[in-house]
Amino acid sequence: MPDAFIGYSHPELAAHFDKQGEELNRTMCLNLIAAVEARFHKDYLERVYNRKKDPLSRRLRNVYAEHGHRASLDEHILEAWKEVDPRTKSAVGEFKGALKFQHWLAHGRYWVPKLARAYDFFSVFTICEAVESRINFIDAIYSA
Amino acid sequence: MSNFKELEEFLRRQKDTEQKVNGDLQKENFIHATAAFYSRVQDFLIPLVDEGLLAVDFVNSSITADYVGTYDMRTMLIKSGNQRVTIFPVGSAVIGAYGRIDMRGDNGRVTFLWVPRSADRPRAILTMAAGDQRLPQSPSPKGVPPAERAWKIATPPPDIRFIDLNPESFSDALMSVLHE
Repeated sequence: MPDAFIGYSHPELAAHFDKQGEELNRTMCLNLIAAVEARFHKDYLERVYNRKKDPLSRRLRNVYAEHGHRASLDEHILEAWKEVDPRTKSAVGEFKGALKFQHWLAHGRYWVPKLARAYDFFSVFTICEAVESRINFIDAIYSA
Repeated sequence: MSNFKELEEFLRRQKDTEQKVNGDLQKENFIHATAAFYSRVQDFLIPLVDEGLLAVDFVNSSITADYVGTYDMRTMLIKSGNQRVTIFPVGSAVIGAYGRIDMRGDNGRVTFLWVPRSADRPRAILTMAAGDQRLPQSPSPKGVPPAERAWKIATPPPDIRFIDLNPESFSDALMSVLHE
């Protein structure tokens, strides 16, 4: 038994673990969204570096010509996916929403976020899983 | 055996081995200990009260705990100028101690724990709970009888220490919860 719990009443102990559970939930959300974010960025660079010729790749190569490595995931890359491949609109749209949640988590949570919905590990997992299943990422030859 | 029968057998075994927690005895011990704590604190504060620097009052409060239910207690109020400090019992069902009282002011909180008189840190208590043979046998359910317990000031984690309660340590504690 860690000394830190000495003197805790039962409700305080329960509240402590509830809080820890909530924080773990949020940390997992942050990591999941970041992992999918990386997938989109890697796919973007793969299409550009290998001068792929499909419509999406051409679109993203235009983005790169204008913005290079500074292309915004939200404004440029995800918008390109939605425009060129409307079948991905729903999955990409949900992911864009989750990005706002990730932004709030990652940048100090010091404001009240305007989110379209409540997020938790399960909803974020579902969103990320939908992206993985509906988006045909080009697998990068390099990976972390 | 059917699943229902298995469940029934399981629940019977649970009932047979259910530990009867002596909640009433625990409650009575805690009530007496809290009253003794308040009496000591009032004694500490007599010089300051006599000089008109402090006023002490009590209000009724209650505690709700598992196995015991709700019972009446008192909260001590210390008034000094515009500041108010409340000293209130948290309960007897706390981890690693026989009871807890908190003192709260505008500048923070101090925790008092009712622990074995000889304990100066949590490890001492947890060792006792494990069955330290050096301790005398006790009729109390948890080993150390009430007469061998004392209220001590618990320092905050991570390195919790128990400080003996006396006029000097209580003064320091009271100062820490008052703001300038």
